[in-house]
Amino acid sequence: MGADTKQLRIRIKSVDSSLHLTKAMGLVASSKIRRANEEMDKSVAYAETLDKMICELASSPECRKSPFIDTGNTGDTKEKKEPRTRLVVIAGDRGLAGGYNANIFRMLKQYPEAEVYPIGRRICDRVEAEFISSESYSAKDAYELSKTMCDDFLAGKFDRLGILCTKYINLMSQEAEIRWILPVSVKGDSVKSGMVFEPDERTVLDSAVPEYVAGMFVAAVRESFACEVAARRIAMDSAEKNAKQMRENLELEYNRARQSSITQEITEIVAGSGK
Amino acid sequence: MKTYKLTISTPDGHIFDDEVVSLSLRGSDGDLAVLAGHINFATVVKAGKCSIETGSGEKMTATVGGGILTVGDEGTVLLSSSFAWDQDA
Repeated sequence: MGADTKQLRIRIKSVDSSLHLTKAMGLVASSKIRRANEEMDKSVAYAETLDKMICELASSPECRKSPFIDTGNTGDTKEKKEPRTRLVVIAGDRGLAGGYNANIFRMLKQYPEAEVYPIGRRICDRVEAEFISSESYSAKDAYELSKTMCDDFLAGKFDRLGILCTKYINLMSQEAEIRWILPVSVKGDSVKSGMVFEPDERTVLDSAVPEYVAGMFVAAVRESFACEVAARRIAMDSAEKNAKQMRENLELEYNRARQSSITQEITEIVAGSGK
Repeated sequence: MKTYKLTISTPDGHIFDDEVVSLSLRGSDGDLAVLAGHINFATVVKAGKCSIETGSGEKMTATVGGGILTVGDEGTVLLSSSFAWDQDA
């Protein structure tokens, strides 16, 4: 019995330390949520403005001749040949965030032929690439990547570019998704907007597209980070709840074992005195 | 003076979103100024100085890191990778 209670005491101590850890990680995630959401809102506002502007520019007939513009279907081209895909994959720098990273990896498996550009330690380790942090990813990094992507696209190195990231629905739910950004898909007929372009339509559009792609990268990275923090908080909350439940059960078991050993001792003493 | 709505947007959000009298900056074909009632217009903005006169008459200057300027019916939008007010520097 002594050995039994000792084992239980060790387990209770270990569950206790896990409880402290999950509590601390939950608190850190909570403190980061507000800042992450603010950053996300700002970059989403920028991306929306860019999106609106690109649609406005792309409605001009001359801009539709640009290789950046696709007037047909989005992403999944109607050609029989499988399009050469390049994916910028955004995952977290750390684990312990529920299914956040796993959802990204699962979706990535659907594109085995895709060329992957990873952002975030988890995905960098997985594809054995140089580490790029998703937490401290700056707009400058996004502009550099965007320039490379646009140059490669014009050089014909790939047919479509997508961002595999996580969409923030609310604090409780986030889902992995792919956003196809190149070629820019335009719906509807071209119209003469009466807009004056300086120096000309194509030059303005060709300068706007790298800006658009970079804006989409920044928005996706910040949205994904907000998702990661929210997912971690939820995961830590549930881990904390489970650890508490486990500690309660172990304490109950420990008290039973302790009580039964006392009862046994008393029984032995009583039995001994009776002889 | 007549005013119009100007939005300056960067990856760090909307830096400015208010009524202005004029906006001056360097476009692809040289310096330009946008006043109220300007025709719908789009240009590539070069990196350099930018000055704004607000509806209240305040004059502000900033450094813009290049971008795109569009003047439309719903207002004027300046999109830039970086934008910093001079007094911040």
